[in-house]
Amino acid sequence: MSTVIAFEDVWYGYETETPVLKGVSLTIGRGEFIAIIGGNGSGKTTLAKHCNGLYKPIKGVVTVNGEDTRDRSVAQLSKTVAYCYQNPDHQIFHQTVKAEVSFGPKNRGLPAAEIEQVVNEALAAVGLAHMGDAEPYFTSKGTRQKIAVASILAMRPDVIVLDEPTTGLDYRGMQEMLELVRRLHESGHTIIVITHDMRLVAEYAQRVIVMQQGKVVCDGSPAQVFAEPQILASAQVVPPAIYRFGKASGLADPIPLTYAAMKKMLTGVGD
Amino acid sequence: MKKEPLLQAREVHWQYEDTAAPSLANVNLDLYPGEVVGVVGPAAAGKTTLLLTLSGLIPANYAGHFVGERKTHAELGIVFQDPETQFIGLTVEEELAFSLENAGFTDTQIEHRIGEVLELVGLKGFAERSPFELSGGEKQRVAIASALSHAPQVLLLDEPTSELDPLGAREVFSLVRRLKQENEMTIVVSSHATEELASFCDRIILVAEGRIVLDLPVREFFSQVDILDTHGIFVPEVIRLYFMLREAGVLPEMPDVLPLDVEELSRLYREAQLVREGSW
Ligand SMILES: Nc1ncnc2c1ncn2[C@@H]1O[C@H](COP(=O)(O)OP(=O)(O)OP(=O)(O)O)[C@@H](O)[C@H]1O
Ligand SMILES: Nc1ncnc2c1ncn2[C@@H]1O[C@H](COP(=O)(O)OP(=O)(O)O)[C@@H](O)[C@H]1O
Ligand SMILES: [Mg+2]
Ligand SMILES: [Mg+2]
Repeated sequence: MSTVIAFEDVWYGYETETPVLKGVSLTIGRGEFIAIIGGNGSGKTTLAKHCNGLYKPIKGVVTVNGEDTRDRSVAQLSKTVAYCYQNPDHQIFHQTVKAEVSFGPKNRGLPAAEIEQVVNEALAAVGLAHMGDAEPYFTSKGTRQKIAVASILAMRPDVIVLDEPTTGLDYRGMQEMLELVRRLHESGHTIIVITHDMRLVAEYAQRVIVMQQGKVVCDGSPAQVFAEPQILASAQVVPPAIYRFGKASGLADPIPLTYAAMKKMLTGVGD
Repeated sequence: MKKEPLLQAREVHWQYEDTAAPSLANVNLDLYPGEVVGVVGPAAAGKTTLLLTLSGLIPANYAGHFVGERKTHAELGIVFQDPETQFIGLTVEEELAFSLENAGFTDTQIEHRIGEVLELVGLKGFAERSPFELSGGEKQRVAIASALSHAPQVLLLDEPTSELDPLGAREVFSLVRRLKQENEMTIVVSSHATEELASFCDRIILVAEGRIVLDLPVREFFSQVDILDTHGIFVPEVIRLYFMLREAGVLPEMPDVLPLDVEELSRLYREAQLVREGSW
């Protein structure tokens, strides 16, 4: 698997005296589906904003396709990596959905016909083809979240970083968002999702990175990570209910992580 | 004997100005001292509108058409869904001091209280920080601290844990239960986190299209799986697992008490395993 993004001993701090990232090293391979989890304030958003050059390390190096992010602007990097904000309202500024989604491609100087095409494709991908003329401000949180995702899709990035994409959505909205992310992954995008939802992690992620106080404290498959109770507790994380039930009931390893797998194990019947 | 309700809504209808349909209709609700009441419902169902109405901010601060009656003699606190839009202080300390000053506390009391509530929400050492320059979950913790600080009798929380880390969310819910037990506080909390609601609430309300569809004690509430499915409410996996295992004959039909968390379900499961082994 080829590397798209690499962090080498990355340090970062805001104006306050304490550093927020303290020597993060990791590589992200093309086509991975990664979840980043960890406590409030552990540095997930700060880490994510390094992926597309919004923040540059104070010490250490972040490379995207082998190039140091310090030598590239966010606009240049946006062809490869897109970051979707934790709060979509920090990202949405235009009067209509279409204007919002067209902003990136216009900025990049694409010809009008091509802009029209990428915008239509992006809106279709998130299921908002019919809402081009709507005013983002008056739509629901779930819709604004999708508008934000469409805006970054219109840049056709390889890597998509989604910062808590399901936060504040109801169950249906959440399932829609997750199916959208799954489709994007299947169509070849590298996906990095920051989340506090362990069911999402268990059902969708291939790899989990656990952050605690600015450091990566665990990095592995969901099964490997959920089997580390001490590390998880110190990172403010609680494994998914299904796994906790298996643990509390003394089931044999490997304990299933998802409802479907648990059902199969206990009844012998799959869905 | 039942206590007197702290807050009552009778036949409340509310329609925001310039909207096509009412956001609340036929709402009747009694809130008693020392209850933790969950509010669930799909997006745009009216959860926020219900909390604003219970708080009195609707109709006081909103334009629209109000019919019905809402009565209370209790002191209220509210945590809004989007805390950031409400911040006015330059520091976290100032932010908390505003609400305490308004509630008539003295300077020494205020200082003491601020230290106390920041510790309660896990933000010790954050007093001098700008509330705008915090992580998402930290902002949400500031909003909760602010509402808790003047110890209201009724606390209304609108999706207070949506951005909290898993342990933090549980801590907030445990705190809510403690406030109920120690101070007989009444807490109304809207949330999509049905797993936490099942573990921590006494009673749950389902709101859909501005109406109260269900208003039941927690175990009865989560037994209504079909109604919850119809309204797109996530039934916690523990509860789905329980019904599935009963149907598959892994768990017995009796006793017929719905488990609400991992520990309760696991106990039923282990008991059933023992019975099975014993009968060999
Ligand atoms: N704009 C800012 N100015 C100063 N400090 C900040 C700023 N944004 C975040 N921080 C601090 O940096 C640390 C890491 O924040 P970050 O937003 O990366 O956390 P997070 O892991 O994304 O948390 P959450 O789960 O709450 O979103 C926190 O201690 C936070 O207070
Ligand atoms: N300030 C407002 N002005 C006009 N309509 C509103 C306002 N706030 C909410 N609504 C409408 O009221 C209904 C209920 O919304 P809300 O109470 O926010 O639901 P929920 O909190 O369950 O998502 C929705 O149709 C929404 O569009
Ligand atoms: Mg964050
Ligand atoms: Mg709401």
